[in-house]
Amino acid sequence: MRQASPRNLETRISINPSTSRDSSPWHAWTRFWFSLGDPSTLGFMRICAGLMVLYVHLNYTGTLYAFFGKDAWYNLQMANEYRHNQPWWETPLEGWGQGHADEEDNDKKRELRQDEIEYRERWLGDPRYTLAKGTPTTSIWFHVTDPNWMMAVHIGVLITMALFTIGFCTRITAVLTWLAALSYIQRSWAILFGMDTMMNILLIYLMIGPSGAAFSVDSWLKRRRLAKEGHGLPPGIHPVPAPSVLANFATRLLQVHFCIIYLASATSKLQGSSWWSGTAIWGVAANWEFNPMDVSLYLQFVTFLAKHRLLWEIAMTSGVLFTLFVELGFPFLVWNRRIRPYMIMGSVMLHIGIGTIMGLATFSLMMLIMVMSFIPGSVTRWAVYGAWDWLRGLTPAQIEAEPAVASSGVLTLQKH
Amino acid sequence: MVQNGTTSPATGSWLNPNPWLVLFSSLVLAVIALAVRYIAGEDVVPLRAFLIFGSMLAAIGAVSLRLQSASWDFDERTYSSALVVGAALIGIVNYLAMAPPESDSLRWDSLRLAVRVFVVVGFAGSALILLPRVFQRIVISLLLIFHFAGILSAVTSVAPPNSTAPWISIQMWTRIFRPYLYFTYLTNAYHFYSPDPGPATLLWFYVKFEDGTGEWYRLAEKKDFSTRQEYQRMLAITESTNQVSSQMPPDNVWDAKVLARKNAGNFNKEQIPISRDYALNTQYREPNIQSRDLTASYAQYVANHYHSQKDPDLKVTTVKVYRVIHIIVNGDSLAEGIEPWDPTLYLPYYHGEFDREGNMVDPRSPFLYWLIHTEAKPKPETPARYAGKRPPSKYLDYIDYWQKHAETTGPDPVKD
Repeated sequence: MRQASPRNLETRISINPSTSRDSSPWHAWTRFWFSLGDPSTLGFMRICAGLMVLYVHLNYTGTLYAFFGKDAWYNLQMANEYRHNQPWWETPLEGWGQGHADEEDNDKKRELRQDEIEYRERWLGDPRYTLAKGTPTTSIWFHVTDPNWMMAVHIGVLITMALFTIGFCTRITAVLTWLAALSYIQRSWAILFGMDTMMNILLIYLMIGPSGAAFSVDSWLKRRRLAKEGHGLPPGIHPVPAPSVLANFATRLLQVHFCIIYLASATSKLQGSSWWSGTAIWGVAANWEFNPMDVSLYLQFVTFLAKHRLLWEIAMTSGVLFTLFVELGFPFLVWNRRIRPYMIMGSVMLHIGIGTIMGLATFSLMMLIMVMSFIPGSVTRWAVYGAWDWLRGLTPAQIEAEPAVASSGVLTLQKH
Repeated sequence: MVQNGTTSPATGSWLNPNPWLVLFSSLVLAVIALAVRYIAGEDVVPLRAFLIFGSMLAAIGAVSLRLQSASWDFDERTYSSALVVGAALIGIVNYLAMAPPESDSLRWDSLRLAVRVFVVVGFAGSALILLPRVFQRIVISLLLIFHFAGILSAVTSVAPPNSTAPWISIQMWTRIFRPYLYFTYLTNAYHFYSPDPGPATLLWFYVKFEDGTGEWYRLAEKKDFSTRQEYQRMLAITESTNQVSSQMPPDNVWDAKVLARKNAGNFNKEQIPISRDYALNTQYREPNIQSRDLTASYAQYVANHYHSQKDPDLKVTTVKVYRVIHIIVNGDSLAEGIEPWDPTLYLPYYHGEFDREGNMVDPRSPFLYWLIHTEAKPKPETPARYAGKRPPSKYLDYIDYWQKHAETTGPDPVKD
């Protein structure tokens, strides 16, 4: 029986083959964003992201009141004051001064009212030059402060996130999961770090895409319903989720955003002298609060490096070059199919390094989940079903079921 | 099945209820919530909250069910659009049901914002559904450009070292994208470890009790936390106070500050000299307004939640806060035996003394925002080979001036 592998299972989907060779910018754009896509990778990412999100929010259970309560580290009164009154100062559209009164703008030359005088003393700036006040943020924790209700809401959130992870009513639980995560984020920004940023990005795009179309309770229940209606799969055949435009769209969003993150990170690093001198990695490798220097083996290792200048310089410079190459090169090279696996491997290595040396395990895992968006759905299915069959002691699936072809006949499915 | 409008047995969810029935139930819940609001007023807020939440959930569910099973035919799209409009209108009913009493316009304000966003997205989405495919793609493409332009404005509106951010980025960020990015928490600039990896920031609290004694509470130390995640959160809290103003005081003010600092150090009960190891202008770091507010909030939290190790019933009177920069040990220093946790690598800057309400009790302290350092002196038994240079940590005695400062300065110095 033919063993499944990524190569012989890879399918190509072409839309209107007669026009696929059209190279106009608009068609290139629509091919990039609006082609059909395999939701399998999104489904697997949903599980990984869901587990991470669940872990992050489970961790909040013991510190719920300390971080989000009325008298939290960042107390509610201050949080409300900032989200209602924090000034956003105007940079004039005309002229070269900052905050200089426009001769035509009599409003900026008038006397301050009493409340404006108080505002100026509080925020150390002229309220006549505020473009806006406050931030448009939303959080259940601005309003629910009773400890019992907070815990009840928190448990409800955890249940929702668990349902999202297993892919139950995914279209709804994805929205609720993102809104819930946003609530925690917006209430207490002081406790946030890079991991929260990536978690939010992942949840937004998984909410947009059909992340429940594969490896989910939803898809399993749908197959059961189809089986009852006589459209079931033969035994031993793994299902292939129907491709969709939304799946491709969400995947592209993740890919492009990931590339922006790398490019922004790399170009901002190039402003720093230590990245040019090749010593920046020491700033992370020897940072006591982040790295495992309390582990004696690690301390011995960095001390050994420090006592051998040549080795130290090679290690530091290599780390800097590798980091810059991956972050600068990834956004451009990952689109080439031959180079893509290597860039993905490079990204994986980079984040494993960040996770171990910097102790930022959850941040690294979130980035690894995001980089999965570059893995084709067929590869994800091969890996997941292969592992599933191996765990069950079965031989790998020989043939994957073909997705139902559109009755319009416009789409063709070619198996290679 | 391909989700481009053709029907097949494989379309839709595993759930099969009529979306219109679900929408109707959403409307019923919303109307009941509205009735409860105007009949019972503010007496049954939890009931109203459940009704509104249930209504919004049902509305999202109805839209999800409909869009998963609808085809591309214009009639089908019309029905879908009508249903989405219905969901948006129900959102308006829920918004009215959340209306606060006139005496408290801030009640549930952030959640009303979320519902407003839901309504706007609903109406916009309903129009999008009706558009022909090409126009749909044009509109979505414009939204894509808006989305990524906003993200890029956040990336580029951070000022590079010794320069200003691009004027256009600042204008776009402040005037156009700020509300969208803040609502969705996409404000990050992704400038990780740039321009250079920096040292960690810690917070040391000196907690003074009603019996005149004091204890140190150091934030954050790895050993105090059961999970890495929680430790990382606390590091984010300490880091949030590390926002210092880049502008030094005017010359005449600066000279007066230096003189006051010197005199205070010389004439204090315990001498607290200015450090000779750092340039004078690096020993004074005035935090920006946000950093000061956060410090006050954290001090208030510690004052109200920290318990004495000796007698948990002792009441806290005030808390002194020190923002501590933990300098990363150089490679050559590590090679010469300077330990990463050497006390001289910790640079505590005094951030004030606060009462239980978070009010600063010594705003005129001459030590405020100054470095209160640790001095190292070689022990008598230091080998001669280290003459003229810094010996390893094990040959040093340390004088912690910040300890002396904590115990002997302020409105109510600790009793001996």
